[in-house]
Formats: sequence, C-alpha cells, structure tokens
Amino acid sequence: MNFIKTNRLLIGLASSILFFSFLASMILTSFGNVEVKSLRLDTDKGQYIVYDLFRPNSAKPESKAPFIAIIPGFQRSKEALSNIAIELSRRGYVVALIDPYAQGLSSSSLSTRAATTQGYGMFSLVEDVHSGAFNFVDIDKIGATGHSMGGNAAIRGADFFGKQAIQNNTKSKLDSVYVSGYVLTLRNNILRDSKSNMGVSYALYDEGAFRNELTAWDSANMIIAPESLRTVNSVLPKEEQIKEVELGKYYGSKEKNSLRVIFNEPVLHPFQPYNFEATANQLDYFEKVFGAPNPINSNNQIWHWKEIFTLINMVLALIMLIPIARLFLDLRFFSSIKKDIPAPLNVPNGKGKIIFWSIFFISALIACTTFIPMVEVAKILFEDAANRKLTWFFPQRMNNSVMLWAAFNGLVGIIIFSLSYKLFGKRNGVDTKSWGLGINRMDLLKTCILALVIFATFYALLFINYALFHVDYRFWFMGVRIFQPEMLAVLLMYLPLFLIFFFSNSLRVNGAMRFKDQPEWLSMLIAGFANSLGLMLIIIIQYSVYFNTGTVFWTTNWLSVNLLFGIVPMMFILPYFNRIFFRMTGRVYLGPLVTCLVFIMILSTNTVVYLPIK
Amino acid sequence: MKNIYFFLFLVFISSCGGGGGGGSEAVPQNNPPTITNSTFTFSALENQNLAFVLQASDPDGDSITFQITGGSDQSSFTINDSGQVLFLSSPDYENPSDANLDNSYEVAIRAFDGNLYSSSYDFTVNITNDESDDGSNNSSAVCTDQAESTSYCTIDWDNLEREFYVVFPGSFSSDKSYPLVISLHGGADYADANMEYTGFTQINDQNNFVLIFPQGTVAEGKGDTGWYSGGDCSNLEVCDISFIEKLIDYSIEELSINPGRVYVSGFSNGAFMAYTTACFLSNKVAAVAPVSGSFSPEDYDSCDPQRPMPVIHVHGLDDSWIPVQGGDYVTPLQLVSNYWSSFNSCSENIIVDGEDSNGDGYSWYSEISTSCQDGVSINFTYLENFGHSWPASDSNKGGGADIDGAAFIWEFLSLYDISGLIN
Repeated sequence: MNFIKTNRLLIGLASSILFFSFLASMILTSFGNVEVKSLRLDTDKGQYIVYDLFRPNSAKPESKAPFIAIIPGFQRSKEALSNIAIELSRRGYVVALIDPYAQGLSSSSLSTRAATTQGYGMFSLVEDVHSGAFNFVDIDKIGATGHSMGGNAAIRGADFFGKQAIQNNTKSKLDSVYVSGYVLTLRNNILRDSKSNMGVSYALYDEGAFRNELTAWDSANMIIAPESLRTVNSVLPKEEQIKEVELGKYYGSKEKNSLRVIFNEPVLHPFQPYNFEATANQLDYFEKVFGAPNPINSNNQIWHWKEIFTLINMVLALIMLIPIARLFLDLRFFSSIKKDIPAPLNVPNGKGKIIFWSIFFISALIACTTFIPMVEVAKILFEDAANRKLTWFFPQRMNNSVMLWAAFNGLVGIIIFSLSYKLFGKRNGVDTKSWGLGINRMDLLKTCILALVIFATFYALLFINYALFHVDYRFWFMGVRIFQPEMLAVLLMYLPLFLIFFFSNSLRVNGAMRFKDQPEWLSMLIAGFANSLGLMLIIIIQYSVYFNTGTVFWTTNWLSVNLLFGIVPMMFILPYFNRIFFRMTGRVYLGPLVTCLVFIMILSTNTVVYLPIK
Repeated sequence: MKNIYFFLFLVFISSCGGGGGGGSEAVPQNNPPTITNSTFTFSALENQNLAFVLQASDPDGDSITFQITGGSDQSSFTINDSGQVLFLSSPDYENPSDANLDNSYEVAIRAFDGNLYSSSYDFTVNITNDESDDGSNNSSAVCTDQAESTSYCTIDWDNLEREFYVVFPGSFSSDKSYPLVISLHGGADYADANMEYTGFTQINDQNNFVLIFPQGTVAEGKGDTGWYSGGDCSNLEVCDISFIEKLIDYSIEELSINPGRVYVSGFSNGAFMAYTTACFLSNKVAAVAPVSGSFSPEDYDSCDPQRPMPVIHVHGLDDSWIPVQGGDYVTPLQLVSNYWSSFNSCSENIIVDGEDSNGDGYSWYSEISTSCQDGVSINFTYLENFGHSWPASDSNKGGGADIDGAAFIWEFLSLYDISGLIN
C-alpha cells in the first residue's frame, strides 16, 4: 500500500500507457477485425525480413483477399507506415508491412543495391505469397506500395516481375504497384518492361525533387514532369500521347495491366505518407485495381487516432523516466547518490548578460555550421558503413555523422564553459560547487548502475507493451521502438562519444543556466533552445532557401538534414531531463547517463544498420 | 591474483618439462615439416573448386598431411590427400560468400608429419570474375530509334540494365569507320539533357563523328543519377568504368567506330569520370575533355595511364561547385594540369588569351603544355566570369560563354588518335 502511495505517478503513467496502447491496438486491428502478427521470411544466404502481417477476418481460403506489400523508405521501419496498413487492412486487403533490409528488425542485405535488386526484400515476399504461402490470399491480386526508397523498390518490383513475365510469357506476379515519393527510376527501360498497373504519387513540395529532370519548382510538378509523362505515355498509342498529365485521371487499361495514374499532393516529402489526401489517393488506386473486399470511402480514415495514442504514450513514457528514477533512488543501495542541490548562480547582468547570450548564439552557430561538415568527415572515418559494407565498426552510416557532431559540439561546449569560468566567472564569484560535479567513485559507479536500471526498466515496459498490444511509442516516423539483442552492442559502441555531448549539456544546463529567482520554465525554455537552436537553424536555412527557389540549400546531404526532424525535438527536451535528474541527485551525472542511453537507443533503432549477417 | 601467478608458474614449469632428464638411449631426432609455397596469396577463377596446391617438405622424409587451423573463411575449405586446397562449394564472384564478402578468402593451414607440426601459414585466395558466366553481361544492346539519327539503347551490364543514346552523323554508313565521342552528364543529371546542353549534336554531322550519351545510374548510395569514378570497383556500388569500357567495345564491334579514335568528354561529375577513363582505359581512349570537374583524390593517387594522354579541360573561374583551387574530393586544377604535363613529358608551356566574343567584358585563356611525348598536348582553358555550367556560346542554352564548348573541344580531340598526334 505504501508502495502504491509513494509511486502513484509511476503506476498512473504505466496504466495510462497500457490504456492508450490498448486504444492504439484497437485502431491497428480495426477494432479486432484484423489480426496483426510479426513474421519472418528467410530469403537468401542468411538474409531475412521481418514483417507485420495484417490479416482481415474476412480473408479466408473460401474468400481470398488481395495482398499488398508495403515498403517503407530509407531510415524508416515498418511501423512508420502502419497508417496505410491500417487503412488497407480495414478495407479487407491482406497487408504485409515490411522492415526493409538493414532497417528495423530485418537483417542486413548482402547487396548494396538492396532496393534495386531485391526490392528491400519485397521480391522474395511476393514470390513466397505467389507460391501459395497464405491460402487466404488471391495470388492474382498481389500489389506493392512504398514511399521514397520504398517507392523505388515498388518500381523495381514492377520491372523485375515484368521481365520475369516477359521471359515466361505469363502475367506478372506483381499485378499492381503504387509508388509514393520517388520518380527517379521511372525511366524508359523500366517502364518498357513493367507489366504492372502503376499509380504514382509525388509531393508537389518534395525537397528531393532537385534530382529530377526538370529544375526548381517544375521538377516536382507532375503535370509537366518528364517522369510522369513517360509513365503515362509508355502505355498510350503514339497518336494518343500527351504533353500534360491530368492528375488523378486513369490512363491505360487495368485488364492489360497498363493502368496509370499520377497524383501530386501539396506536401513535403517526409510528410507525404501522413497526408490525408495522399492516403485517400492511394486507397482509391487499390480500390480501382483490386476492388476492396470491404469497401469504405477513402476519406474515412482512422489511422491518425493511432498516431495520437502512440504520441501520448511517447510523451508519457519519457515522463515515466522520472518516477522510475525516483523509485530506485529510494532504495537504500542508491540513496547515497542523492545530494543537496547546489546553490544556483546569480542572475547575470551587464557584462555577464552579454557573455551569456554571446555564448548562447556562438554555440548555436557552431552547432549549425559543423553538422554538414561532420557528415563529410563521417564518410572518411567510417568508410565501410558509408559504403554500406557490412561491419561491426560503427555500422550506422547516418548516425555516425550525428555522433561526430555531438562529440565535437559537446567538447566545444565544455571548452566554452571552462573558458567562460576562467575568464569571467571566477572573477565574479561563481562557486564551482554550484555545478554539481563533486562525486566520489562509489557514487559515480552507483549512478551508472542506476542509469542502466532505469534504461532497462523503460525498455522492459516497452517490450511488455509491444508483446501485449503490438504497438510502440511513436508519432509518424519518430518512434521509441523495440530492438534486437545486437542493438545493445551497437548502443555500447555509440554511447561514449555521444555521452560527451549529453554530459556537456547537463553541465551547461545545470552549471551555467541555473539562476536564482529565475522561473524554472524560463530557464528550461532557454536551455531547450540553446541545445537545439543550431540544428533548427539548419532546417530553417534548408527550407527557407527551398521555399524561395524551389531547390534546397544542401542537396547532396539533403537526407541528413531530413534526419534532423527527428533529432531536434530530442535536443529540445534533453535539457529538461538533465535539470530534473539534477534536482533529484544534486549532481550532473544521472541525467546525461539516462538520456544518452535512452535517446541513443531511440536514434539507433530508427536508422539503417549494416551489421554482418550471422 | 596469487592464483594467477601460481598458474603461470605451473605453465612455465610444465613448458620446461620437455627439456629435463637426459636418457641413456639415443632417440633419433625428428624435425618438423615446412610449408614451402613461394607465395601465400593466390588467385582463383570463380565457379571452380580448386583454390591452390600446397607444397611442403620434411627434413626426415616423413609423409606430410595438412590441417586447416584457422582463418575467417576456414569453413569454406577442405584439403585432399594431394595437398589441393578445395572450396567446399565453388565460389561465385557475383555473390561472394567469404566472411567479409570481398571475394578474398582467408584460411590458415599447417603441415603435419605424424609427430610434429609446422608453423601455421595464412593463405589468401582472391576470386576473379569469369565474365562468361555473367549471363546478363553478355547480351548485346537493344536499341530503338528515337528520332532521325538518334537511337535509345539499353544493355545489361553488372546486373543492371544500362541506358544510352547513340547519335549518328547524317551520312553514317556502316562501311566506314567513325570517331566516337562519349559524353558523360553531371551528377543529378540526365543523358538526354546532356545531349541538349553540350551542343555536340549540332556539330557531329559536319564533322562526321558518332556520339554516345550514357545514362548514369541512380545509385542507392548516392540517391541521384551520376557516375562512380575510380578504377577500383571493389568499394563501389556500380562499376561505371567497366560500363564505359563495355560501351567502347560494343561501339567498336557494332557501330563502325574507329578503335583508335574514341574520346571521352564529361561535365562536372561526368568530368571526374572522364579522368577515370584517362587513367584506367588509356589503351582504349585516345583523348579526354573534362569540363567543370577534376580528378578525385583517389584517381589522382592511383592514376595509371599506359600512354601519353591528350587532355583538354575547360573550367569557369567562378565555379563554386568545383573550385579551380580544389576542395573536398576535388584536386586543385593546377595539380591536375601538372600531373598530365609531367606524365606526358611536356617541355613547353604557353598561354593563349582568348577574345571576349560575347562582349560581357570578360574573356578566357588557355594554359597549354606542348612538346609532349607522341605529339600530344595539354590544354587547360579557364573562362572568366563563368561558373559551374557547360560553356555554350548560345546564351539560350544557359551558357553565355565566350566559346562554344562542343566545337572548341572537338577541334582539340580531332587532332589525336590512340597513338598521339595524327599526322
């Protein structure tokens, strides 16, 4: 009873998470009308894919349903496209939502052209399903859809199975594909051999369109883009060829597997899968080519409720780190970690104020200007991962640059912190005790153990939650995911260099940004911006230039900039945690240890990882 | 800790044990065998089981057997009684199965004479490609006519279907032999666009040469269209140098191309690729014309031309993408120019000033190295007030340069064949 009283918040949060997960699972399973389970398909030479199979109750051997494979794009795991899986499955389609090779729970690929030559694993799955793996699937109605690189996999699938069909003089095993957010490989040779119906949806404000054939704003305009014109004209007789595409109009013939339709939704590339109009267009397309076993108007969509519930859970789960920490800190073993909170600094004024804000902006500027160079440095330092070779040496090519950036900026932060003390603070009576650095070896060890215990508890609850409801904590592509055991080794590899940044942040937030009589909310807000402003600036520059010219500022590394959409929120909330843990322990160590473990695991499980195949 | 010392002490004592106790009976001394292979790195053609043959000798003439003792690919091998090291399943170059998938198998082996072992030796077997099994690489190009004198073709190569356009001169006759210019587009660029902006198609009729505009792949590692420069494809997702070589071979066999007059031009990323061909296909490429590009540092370090190579390089002085003074992945042009002058043993340098033909107040100049081996020359032409664009005198094509790049380049290229200056 006492336990319940003192841990009311923890119990409340855990119960709420279970409740919202239950609600999310209701959406995922269309209120129990769809069975969702994870399956693994061993493909070739030790490679395998893990996928979620959405089987509507109406799909039975006596009433077979069409089958649609969904392939997420680069850096995305299967859960990132659960929205379209939900909408398709509630309409009666059997859906397989794939973790692409080297992403999520699937194995790496032996090929560096996994999307091109294997459709990220989709080719094997289509072969498997077509050979009768599921007796409730109509093998004449197999389709595939994907976004971005997953869209490329769908295009390549149309080509691969088209060539196979030509060779065998049969119908293509892949009856229809729907390509979202990718047009680069809609080339004559691909379209010539495709024997699949094809829908193409491209965001009008796709920031990756600088790679397309036209330039600036024209590049993503699918009415006049050569890519969309080719797609349509490849199925039209010469005399009927068009010079402008009518968006949403179906060209060609479904019976001849030459149906073509183009959409052009006004949205940015990463947000295209989460756009109601784009989702409706996709649903309409599959209704047209397959006919939904359970027709529902395409504007009737429920997927966003799952996103809301899992977003609530993501927030609650992160908040839950606090009562988890409190729970363990109350144990006798850990109680010695708790120290009095050192006195805060006096509010700076005059020169101190100038120095504070100068450091604030200089740090942000350094953070902003060093990110893209670190992307380049990472290519040199981590050559194997950069070339997508299978390796145990820092195998996450996108995370490598973030890690270097973090280590560099962490060091810069510590240097600036020390210099500002030596040059200014010392002379103005700053007491180093206020930093909360003093700790003995045993307490430091206990702090490390406690951080591991908190991390383990946090993820244990996630795994239990996933086992019960098959949902994790997420909003769109930002997710707290479950992971395979190898990821613990990956985490250990990335932890030390990232820890420099997290520790530096804790030191600055608690040692240099904690002032007497300053409201906590203001102090935290400043700290949040101090930690994330540099990266925010990159996004602001990238998209200001884009909206002014039609071409993004950083073209070669545009995907690295996209990565920041997931990182900036983490950077913003990091100081909050560092302050809260500081208040619990009076020291600067527990915050960075816990947040580094949790946040880096979140980062690591949401990116590509080129681990050797067992 | 004490236990560790005690254990080490026991190990030490036991290792000394063999030397103790002199017996009264003379025991014939046995000597260990030795592996006598002169090399420990072998090449083996794919699709066959034999990796290499072991050689060994024993001073006492004992019969020798072999044992696999380690190596990251030890499970891929077996050894028969004749000392032949065999792959358990024949290797496939296109689908390597060694531990690190680099087609280089590693195994450690020792010899045994019944009593004593030799040292263990590390062997490496590098698998070489048997092109005859690359079914898709043997196919010929499939072409369709696109417009008058222009064909759109595809060819299977390296498990990819590669695209290219061929533009014939109006008077083309398969009975004659023609020079060929291969024009490579830039990064995030397209062959059909390159066909337009370079202007080569405007001059190939009157100058009677064939043009090929290959399409770079959308490599997954790059995310957009382009070329993987470099002569060593082991780290590359797409082996473009072998594709260009294939195109040259194909055009000589099928398109009446004079094998001694194949030229490669390229813009930006295509210029890097053009330099790669100069470095590694010099036995097939007569001269190169890179525009707004440079050597990659890797090519600069490993460039290996087999004959003097004529080079004409055109570059805008205001090019911020590929700066004249170099940058990340860009070798400074002065170094590039020096490299070729030195390699071609040129002994004279001249500077030619060009005219401000478009009247914008800026002009151009060429740094030319002459008196080179085989009569070749090096021409580095710099355009003032000009950025990262193809130099077209027609401003409608986005150029607005003082020179017409295509005509300027052809005037240079046409002076040379594979043997140097055409007499």
